[in-house]
Amino acid sequence: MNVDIIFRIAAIGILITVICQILKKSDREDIATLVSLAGLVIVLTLVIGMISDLFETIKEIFNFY
Amino acid sequence: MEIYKILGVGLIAVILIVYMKSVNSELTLLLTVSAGILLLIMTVSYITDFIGWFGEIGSAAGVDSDLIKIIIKIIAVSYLIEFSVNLIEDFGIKSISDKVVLAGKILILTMAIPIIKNLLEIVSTLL
Repeated sequence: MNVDIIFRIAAIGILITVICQILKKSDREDIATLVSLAGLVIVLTLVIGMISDLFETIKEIFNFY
Repeated sequence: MEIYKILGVGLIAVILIVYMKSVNSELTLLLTVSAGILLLIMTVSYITDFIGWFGEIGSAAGVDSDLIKIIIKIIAVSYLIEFSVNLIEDFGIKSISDKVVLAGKILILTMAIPIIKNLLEIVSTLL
């Protein structure tokens, strides 16, 4: 886990936005909504993994005592 | 040096967040949270050194090791609460974070009861 996770989230965001724009231009609003929702869920999974990692680290540090 | 790493993460995160605001506003929140977690994970390992040193000082001063354990536990609880409250505030919900702070205060108060008892015992032996 390093700085690249921030870049990854930003890249996912830009990619999702581009896909959404293309889908919207070709009159597929419903699929565009689903795609943006999917992007949100992917990023949320990443972030939740990070949160659990952080809490696990804290638990480990304080369990020694 | 670690400080350059932390500064770099902060600056890159800010630039990306400001850029994402105009591109895809719903992901800025998650970007903010993940940058915050990244910074916390980078700093959290430094707590280990401090706690080891703290235990050494306590045993050198002859303080009961149970009390030291309680104090370290209280520090852990307060750090956890601080981290979680920061996360919740990053999501922009102030009312929940206030309640988490309140719950943490009450928990710490209950955890501190043995220390207060010990203090009262010491005072009563002095009198």
